[in-house]
Amino acid sequence: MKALLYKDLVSGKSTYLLALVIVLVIAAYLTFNEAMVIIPFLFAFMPMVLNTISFSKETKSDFAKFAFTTPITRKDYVKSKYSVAILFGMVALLSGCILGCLECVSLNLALIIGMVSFALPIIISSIQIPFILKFDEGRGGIVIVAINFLIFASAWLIGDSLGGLVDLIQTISKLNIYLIVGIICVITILILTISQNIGVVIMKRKEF
Amino acid sequence: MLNNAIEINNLTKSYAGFSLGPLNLNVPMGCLVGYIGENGAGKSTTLKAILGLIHPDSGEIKIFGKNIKEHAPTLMNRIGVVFDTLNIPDEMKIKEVDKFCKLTFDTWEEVTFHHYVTRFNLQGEQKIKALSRGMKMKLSLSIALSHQAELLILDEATSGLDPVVRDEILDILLDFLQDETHTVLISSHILSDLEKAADYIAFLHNGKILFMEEKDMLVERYALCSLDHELIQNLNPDAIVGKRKHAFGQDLLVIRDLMPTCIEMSKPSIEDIMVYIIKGEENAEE
Amino acid sequence: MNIQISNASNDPIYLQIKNQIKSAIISGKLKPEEQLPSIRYLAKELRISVITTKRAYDELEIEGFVNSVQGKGSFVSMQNKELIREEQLRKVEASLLDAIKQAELAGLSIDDLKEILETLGGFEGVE
Repeated sequence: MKALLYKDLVSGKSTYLLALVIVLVIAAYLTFNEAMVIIPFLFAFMPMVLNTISFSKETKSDFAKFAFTTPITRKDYVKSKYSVAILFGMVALLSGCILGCLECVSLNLALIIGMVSFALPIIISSIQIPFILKFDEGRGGIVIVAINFLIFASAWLIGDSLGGLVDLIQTISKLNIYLIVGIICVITILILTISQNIGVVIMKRKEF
Repeated sequence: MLNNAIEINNLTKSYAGFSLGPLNLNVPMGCLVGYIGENGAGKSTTLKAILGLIHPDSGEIKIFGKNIKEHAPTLMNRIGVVFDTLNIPDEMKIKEVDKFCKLTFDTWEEVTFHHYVTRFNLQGEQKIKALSRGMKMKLSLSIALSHQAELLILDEATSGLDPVVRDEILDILLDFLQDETHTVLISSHILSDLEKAADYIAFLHNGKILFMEEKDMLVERYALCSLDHELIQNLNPDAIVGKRKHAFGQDLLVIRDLMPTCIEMSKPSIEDIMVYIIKGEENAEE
Repeated sequence: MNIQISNASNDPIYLQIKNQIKSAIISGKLKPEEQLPSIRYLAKELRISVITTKRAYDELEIEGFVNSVQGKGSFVSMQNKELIREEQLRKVEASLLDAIKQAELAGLSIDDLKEILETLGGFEGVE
């Protein structure tokens, strides 16, 4: 898997750099507009965009065909696709907690924000990646766009009811915080594992 | 040369409008086997099935005596593959490909890779997108030769390359075969590559293997001759494998032993054998 | 050692190789116990199938001109004078048979042939 991560890094250098710049710009904008708390949620959507870009690059060179003439297993290949999401999840978790502290909210709230920020990119990618793996032919591109759109739309709708969500979170944060955080963590890992297994089945059935 | 590098038993695979098999093919170790046939006959399908890139409808494939389903991917260390395209991202540099392979193959030899890269006049700093088709093939071959592979599989790797490059590649393949535990399976519809140096020729036509034989035997068994329409009547019909009628006579591929000795015959090329056998099949269908 | 393959020749390639090596051994160009190139090296240099070179070497071994040692290679066998003489005789016989056939076609008798032989022998300075 190290090899695949190296390849992603090296063949997408310019893309990742651009993504970093955009993230920094948006983060700066949010900071100046006193909306820093949104930053962790920004991290939630970055993996989705990066996955889409790296997927289209890989389809162009049909890299998987080469990869499976080496000792790379289908499992390794699938797992490497989630690494961006997991990485962003970690970063989001950290940033969520830090920002929560900076904004001087309660520790509980900071933890919740951090945990949710950790869960979001992973869950979103877990939904997105099996579709990416399954549909890499021409019409597949349309499916990916549709999935991305659906995810954004759901997020938008949820965002609309953000007010109610904040109240919900306030309520929840008064409950046993560690239980909540633990449950979110377990559910996230569960969804990740299920998604990876589905991904492996898809790759094993795939022909090149 | 007693062991088989590859054993294919009863391979079948169907797509819409095309079916391959049942196919049986044994590739003996230590040999250069040419896999020939028309475009679309199923050569690539066979090779992909060997490599586990596609799933056969039925049949069993063994490489070095091991079932590929169970032993890939570690088996892939011992197999070098060259396709007609280099499936590596455009933005990668050759030295990055080196690093990638080092992280991927247990048996990667950097020194060997550098040796081939230099020999082929490639540079570590070059990006894939800057390489011509010929250079991409050479890189592909460099990779295939740098992880102690015992079996090389080339799928139409030389199409689109000029004769000088193809000649270079043939030299390298023959070098590779100096070790008698090494085997090469090369599918090509450019037969001049295989003309001289192939040990065996397997001919795939309409999804079935028509023959898999020592190339020398083929060239000795068949002969080309050119006769007028009258003389042909006197021939043993079993002697004629395929013919091309033209305004001034007929060109025939015949079985040497069944021909009268007075008729002038010449040695056929593998291409002649392939073309005339196919003609013979078409004639039979008429 | 020199070996030249002709594609135009009617002789199969393995036979050309065999004959050329045999000639070299008989003429002494290849010495007894001298090592021959490996079958694979020969195949690569001549750009022919390794099955062809193997066949040539196998037949040379059967005829006693060459010994193969597992793991080491093939070597010219100890000069067997009788073997060589036999081979030379075989060649002479083949040429004479050919001459006889041609003579028949031309309507010449065996005596005519003997005359021609003596004349030619005289010209060539052969004893």
